[in-house]
Amino acid sequence: MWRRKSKVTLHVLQQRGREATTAPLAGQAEASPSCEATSDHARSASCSRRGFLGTLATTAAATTATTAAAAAGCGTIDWDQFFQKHYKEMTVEEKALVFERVARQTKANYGADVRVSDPAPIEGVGFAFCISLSVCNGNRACVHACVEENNQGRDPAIQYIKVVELDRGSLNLEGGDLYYEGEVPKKDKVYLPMQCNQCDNPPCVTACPVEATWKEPDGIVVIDYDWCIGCRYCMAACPYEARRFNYATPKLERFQINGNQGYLSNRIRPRGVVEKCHFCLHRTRNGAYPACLEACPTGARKFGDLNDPESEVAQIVRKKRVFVLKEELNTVPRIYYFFD
Amino acid sequence: MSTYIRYWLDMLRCVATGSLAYYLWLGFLGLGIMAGGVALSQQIEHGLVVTNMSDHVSWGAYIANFTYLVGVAAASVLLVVPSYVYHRKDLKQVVLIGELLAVSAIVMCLAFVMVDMGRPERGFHMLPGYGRLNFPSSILAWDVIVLNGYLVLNLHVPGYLLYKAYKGETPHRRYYLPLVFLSIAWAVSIHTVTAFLYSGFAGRPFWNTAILAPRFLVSAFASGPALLIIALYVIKRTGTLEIATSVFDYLRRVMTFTIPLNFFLLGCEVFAEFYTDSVHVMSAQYLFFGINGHGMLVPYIWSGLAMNLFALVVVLTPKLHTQPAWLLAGSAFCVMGIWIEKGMGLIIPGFIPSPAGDLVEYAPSMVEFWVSIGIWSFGIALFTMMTKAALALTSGRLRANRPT
Amino acid sequence: MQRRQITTIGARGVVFLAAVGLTNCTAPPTANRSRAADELPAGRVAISGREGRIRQFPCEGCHDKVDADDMPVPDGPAKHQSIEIAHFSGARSCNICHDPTNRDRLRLLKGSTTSFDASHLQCGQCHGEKMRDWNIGAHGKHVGGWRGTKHRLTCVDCHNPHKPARATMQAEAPPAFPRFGIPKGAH
Repeated sequence: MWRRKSKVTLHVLQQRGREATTAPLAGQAEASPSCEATSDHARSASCSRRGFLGTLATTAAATTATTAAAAAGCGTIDWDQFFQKHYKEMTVEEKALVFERVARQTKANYGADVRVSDPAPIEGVGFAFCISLSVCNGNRACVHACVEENNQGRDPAIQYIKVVELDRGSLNLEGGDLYYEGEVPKKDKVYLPMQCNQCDNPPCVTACPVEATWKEPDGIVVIDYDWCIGCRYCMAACPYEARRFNYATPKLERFQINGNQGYLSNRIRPRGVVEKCHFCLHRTRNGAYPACLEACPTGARKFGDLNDPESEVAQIVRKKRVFVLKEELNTVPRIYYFFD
Repeated sequence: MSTYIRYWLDMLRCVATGSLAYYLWLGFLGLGIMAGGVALSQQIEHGLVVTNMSDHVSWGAYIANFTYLVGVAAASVLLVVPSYVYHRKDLKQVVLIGELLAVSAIVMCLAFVMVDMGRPERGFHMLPGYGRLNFPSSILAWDVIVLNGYLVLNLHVPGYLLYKAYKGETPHRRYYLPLVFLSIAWAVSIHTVTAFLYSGFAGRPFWNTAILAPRFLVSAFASGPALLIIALYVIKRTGTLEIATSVFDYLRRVMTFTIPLNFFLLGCEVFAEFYTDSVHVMSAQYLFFGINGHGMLVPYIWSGLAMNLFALVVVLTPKLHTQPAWLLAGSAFCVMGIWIEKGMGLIIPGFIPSPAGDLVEYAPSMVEFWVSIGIWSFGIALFTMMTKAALALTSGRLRANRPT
Repeated sequence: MQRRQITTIGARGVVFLAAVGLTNCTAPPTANRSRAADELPAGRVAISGREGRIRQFPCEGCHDKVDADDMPVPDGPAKHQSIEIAHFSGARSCNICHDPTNRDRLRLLKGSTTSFDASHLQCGQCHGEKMRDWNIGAHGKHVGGWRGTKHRLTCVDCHNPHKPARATMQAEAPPAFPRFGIPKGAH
């Protein structure tokens, strides 16, 4: 299903149960992501899509000295990609070449023109989310806006955000329901959106055997999709079920692809690697709000710099009674929940 | 050097020739390997989507088998200690077989890890120097080190002793004995580290228990001897090696300690889960009784426990365990029971419920089943061939200076 | 605001103290990564205006000539039939909030008036707690970006002042139910 990107603007706020007294604000359109929307449907890219997965590959000398044939496709071996360095070890020039390679492959495999970049963390900034559970009504606009922003595979569908429907008076996730439908909010229900908490003491980063995931200075836990070996140990480690695995090559139509891509964030992932929410770092490091926040028609989501005492999140954490999920695990999350 | 090459060629020749039963057995295993290869090619083509693993249950049959096999590898220490440290003559006769079993088990472990990885071709990212092994933070990095280290130790000691036997020389103790002692400690470490893989996560309450490592070791020392009893009995029946009854008796006696101890530790776990009755009891509830009428693992785990109970009765009853048929049946049930209990019976409930409270079950897909069959067949074939060559060498049938 | 873990070295670190001595620890997260100079504009809150968005504003365009009685019960003012009142039950005089002498202004309880662009001042008279939350950004929605100008929507952007309760809405599609999922509750 194709929905226009502009739904994340204020127009949508009107369409969704809001009184028609609001008009779109000027300047709002700039904040919405650009998208080369084209109705050119259904271009099968099944063959060339697999190409860059590499063909015959030397396997894991670290474990056994055996070799295994991997991913027979119709592409050629990209040895530069195969021997690509860990992202943190690349020079600026090497990164530029890699970004170019990713864009080229996206063009070849998905037919879309994309721009790959990687905005650096901003000095002194530490991102955080605050989510009002009194306001969230469980409409899942954030879930779908996230999918459109971050180029997740549509089949099998990968979603970063899970909204848990809980009985009022209980925060026991095991009693929650993720598959509710229909009119929301339901009577005596509370809705709790879950996504990566960008923990300051992240079990996933500790677990990763190859340092393919790490914490950035602005608090965001990122993944180098070209370094991840797909062992899924981080998924076992995560107490928030934030991480998703690409069991198959992500399937996206050309018009579904968001062309504004970040190397460590929303570029189309290769098969067999783990991905997760990254606070839309390709947007937020440029000053914009994350896509889920923009799409939220209730205003339950607050985002900003926790290190800036004047920011909403800092004031909320200081002045409201906030809590984090599974605090007893000492993961020190960066998503705070509160009731007001 | 040329002797060394001839040593390998002679061993290969020994492995390539054998009785009709030997060929049939290898052919049978070859069929399993081929079936696994076909299934694996599916997985390589389409990705892990052909398995039944999901974002909720992100590890399945592969990692369950891996966990069990680490235990098998560790169990070889039960033969190593009495034969090298206490110089028990009867056990010294079969200690090589135990070490080769460990080698096969480790190879199978590594194979199971490889097929479980989304990008196995990037495994070299773990190589120190080139890649970035996240040591000492990641327990998986520890596991990579201890498993490969154990593999090397267990390849070196039999390899050295067999090469010396081939040349008809007496082995120098200083070239293998220190490594034997190292491998004893190492054997304990491989299974401890593997237990720590699971027990280190606060986010998975079912695994996050201090007795997981002791449970792993105890269950390994129950199923390992059972597997050895079966293997040694088969070898004895082929007539290639005369194995003393005392060997079987020793292995059985180990089981009389470890099987009850395993039940005891499991009971401790069950008590802590159900008496505490916190929200975290849900995993154990799912495993033993099911949730909302759903419980794919319920018949599975109870049959595993029943098998262990059967094995316990056999090894404790003289009337039964003195008869080979009963002892073999008890051993086979012990192997399967432990395989169930600490394979999928341990891995899968850790993911149910998921951290977000979702309830998603798991059962292996056909691809996972056949790939697992393939790896087991490969491991057993490897063990068969290695043992055949080793027995030929130790018995003196294969010698460097033997005129042919 | 202190964001610190309870243990400084990390619980796992204790376990592997010995190993730490052998290898150097994981590099600090800043390594190999140049931080961008902070060139983004500073955050600035702009309260969303309203007067320009009301149809037929200024109201005085008509109301300088005509006006209704104070309490047009039971059917409401004849000219504004669409207005449904479900707010502040019992009081149905338009003039509690609307200034009867200047319809372009809102009347505060203490007698003074304010503009439609500052309608939140009027809401805040009763809903002080929400007002406080709104002032720090805990309640309500911001549009724009976390840096640069962010537009803070006012109460009436989301709540119809005459009928402020928020309507229910249709939830978007749930994730596909997992193949081996165990249903809970209604599913």
